Formats: sequence, C-alpha cells, structure tokens
Amino acid sequence: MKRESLIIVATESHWDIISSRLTHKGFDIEELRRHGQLTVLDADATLPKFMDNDMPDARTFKGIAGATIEKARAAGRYPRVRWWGEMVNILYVDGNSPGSIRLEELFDQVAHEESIAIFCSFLMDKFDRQIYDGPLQNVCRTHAHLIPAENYERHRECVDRAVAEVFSGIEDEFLDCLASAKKWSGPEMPTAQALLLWLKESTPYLADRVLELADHYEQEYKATTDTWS
Amino acid sequence: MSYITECGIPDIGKAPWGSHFCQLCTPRQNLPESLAPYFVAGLRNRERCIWLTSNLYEAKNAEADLRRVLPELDSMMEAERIQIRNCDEWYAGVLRSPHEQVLDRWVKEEQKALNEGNEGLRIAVNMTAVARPDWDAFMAYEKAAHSAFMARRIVALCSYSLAKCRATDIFEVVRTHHFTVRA
Repeated sequence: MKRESLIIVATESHWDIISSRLTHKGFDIEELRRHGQLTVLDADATLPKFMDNDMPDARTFKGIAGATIEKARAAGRYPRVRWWGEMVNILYVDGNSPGSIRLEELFDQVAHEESIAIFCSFLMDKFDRQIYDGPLQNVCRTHAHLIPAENYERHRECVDRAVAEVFSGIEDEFLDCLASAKKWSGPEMPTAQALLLWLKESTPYLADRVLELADHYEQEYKATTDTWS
Repeated sequence: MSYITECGIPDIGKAPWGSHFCQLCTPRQNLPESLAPYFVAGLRNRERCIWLTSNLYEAKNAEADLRRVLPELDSMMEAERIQIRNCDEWYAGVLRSPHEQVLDRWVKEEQKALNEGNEGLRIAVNMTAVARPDWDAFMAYEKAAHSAFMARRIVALCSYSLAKCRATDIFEVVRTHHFTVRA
C-alpha cells in the first residue's frame, strides 16, 4: 500500500471483518481514509445508485466508478489504484444473473479504461456442479486471473483423485479427450481448476461425477483435519 | 533449407522446425520403439541429435536399442552427430539456475549444429524421472522452452510416463507442447 490507493466496496458485515483484520495488521483505518489512500463504499447502498430495472445503467455506473477512482488517485498522489468489491456477487447471490454478468462486463471495461486492478470475490463453491453450467464461465470471461481455492495443493489432490476414480478402466477415454485440452483457453488459474472447466466442456456427464467426488474428498480431508486440530 | 522435417514417428509425418511436442508413454516398453525411428529420421536428414535419457531408461540401454536399428551409430557418436546422455546432469541446473541458462545451452547446441552444416538440432528428453517436488519448476521450464524453441531450427520431443503422471500433470503437459503422441 505504499504508492497505491485502495477502494473497497463491501457489505457492512464484510467491511467489519476486513477493517478489524487491517487494524490487527497495524493499519490505522481512519488515517488511511483521511489521507485518501483508502476509500470505503457500502456495496448494498452503492448498487441502487446505478441499477435500473434489475440491470446496471452503464453511464451512471461508469460515472460513479470514474469519480471514485479519480478521488482515490488523490490528484496524482496515488497513481496506482486497486479495487476490491462484491457488488457483482450481491446480484449473483440474489439470482440476478443477467445483471451480475452485465456489471462484471462494465467492471472489466473500467479496469481497462482506468488502468486499475480490480479484484472481485464470488460466493461460489468450486466443486458445485451448478456453477459449471454458466456462472463460473461468465466469471472467467471477464477476469484475467482466477483464484478458486485457498489451498491449491489440496484442490489439486482432490481433483486428481476424483479423475483417477471416474476414469478408472476408461483411461483411454481421458487421454483421447486431451486432444481438445490444447485448445481450451481461460484466464490464469491453477491447473486443477482449468482441468475441471475443460472437462465440463469435453465430457460434461463425467465432469459432474468428478466434481461430486472431488467435493467428497475435500469434505473427507476437512473432517480429518478438524479431528486432529 | 526446408521449414519442415520428417518426424520419423508413425502417424505424425512431417513437423515444422520449432515443434516442441510430447509423448505419453509407459516407462520402458514403448520408448525405443518410437524414439529410435525419430533419431534415425533426424540423422538421415543431416540433423544433429541429442537424446537425454532418464535413470529408468539409461543412456547405455538407449544406445544399445538405437544400435540395433542403426549399425553405424558408433561412428556417428564419434563424429558428434548424436549424443546420448543422462538427463540428470543436463537438467540439474534447471532447478537451481534461471531457465534462460538452460535454454541458452540448447540454443548454443543448435548454433553448433548449424555451423557444422546440419539442418538443425533434434532433441528427445525423457522426463519420466522428474521428481514430484521438482514438477512445478519443470513445467515452468517447459513453458519457457516452448516459447524459446518456436523460432529456432530445433525439434524437441519430451517423453512423460503415464504411470507417474496424475491427471492434472497430463493436462499441464499436453498444454505446454504443440502436440501429443501416445506411445
């Protein structure tokens, strides 16, 4: 945070957690806000300002985003700005997928136009089959990087175990499918996540089974670690 | 100089210079069968060849297998048309030094090949001995090699053992090479 300004658009409950973590790490929230290095907006209160009939109004949204970014730059004191927000997630969780996708697209445009880094968080279970029916692909379409799990190694292990079990006895089928793996493209993400998305495209039925098993292995792992901790 | 070269591998035919492809195989049984014709094709096309083997299929075994289909192997080795070595020593530096240093070594070998009047450099590397903790470093190296070889008169074939690779490993390997051959 030396030469960067931070914009946080969070729900009230999340901001409470974030601010206490920042304080715990030694940051003086009020001082950061006073210096203009930290801008905090309430996600629930900001959304209605640019939503029009369940869809974001591009002009109003870009106006609000632009003004917030300009203020965050503090007349050039902070040339770099990073934005973390969860307004898209609020729409997604509320079941407003079209609005969520549109807002994501607008954020993507703002990131390019304003040259800022935008970090979005979504309430999605990486092994939930439903998110592979479009929502996760939409997220991938408008982001450069995807962080699907806290523990990449564990994630990979669960996926590997699940694939090995589902394709046991039909390994050739997996290898045959791989011809299309070369062409699959998406944002930067861990290999295990890329494999899941590619599998969903190439063998949807088996992908569902892989997701189910991977989830099972993760629960199994969590149960083991909970027992020992 | 042609922009393509005969691969020597059944069903592949010719491949452009700069091709960096992988072979998914079982540890021992299929390697000589597919790699011997790969090198025979290269030597017949006046290419300089380097075969890096692993401890699962050592250089002396590779030499013996290749000699069976290429009786003139000894004289070719003497003339440095082909080198067969264990990959451990070659790649020892990959994990400790920047990728550029290892890639630079390949480029120097390519330059040597061309300066000696060869068509290019043909490489085969047996990756079956890559240890699990080294995997990520090797994949990063593979990505760098993929880009570095693209504009050069180098063809490179990397062999991976299906028995040692997990699903995500195979997915990664396939995506870091131009095409995949199944042995």
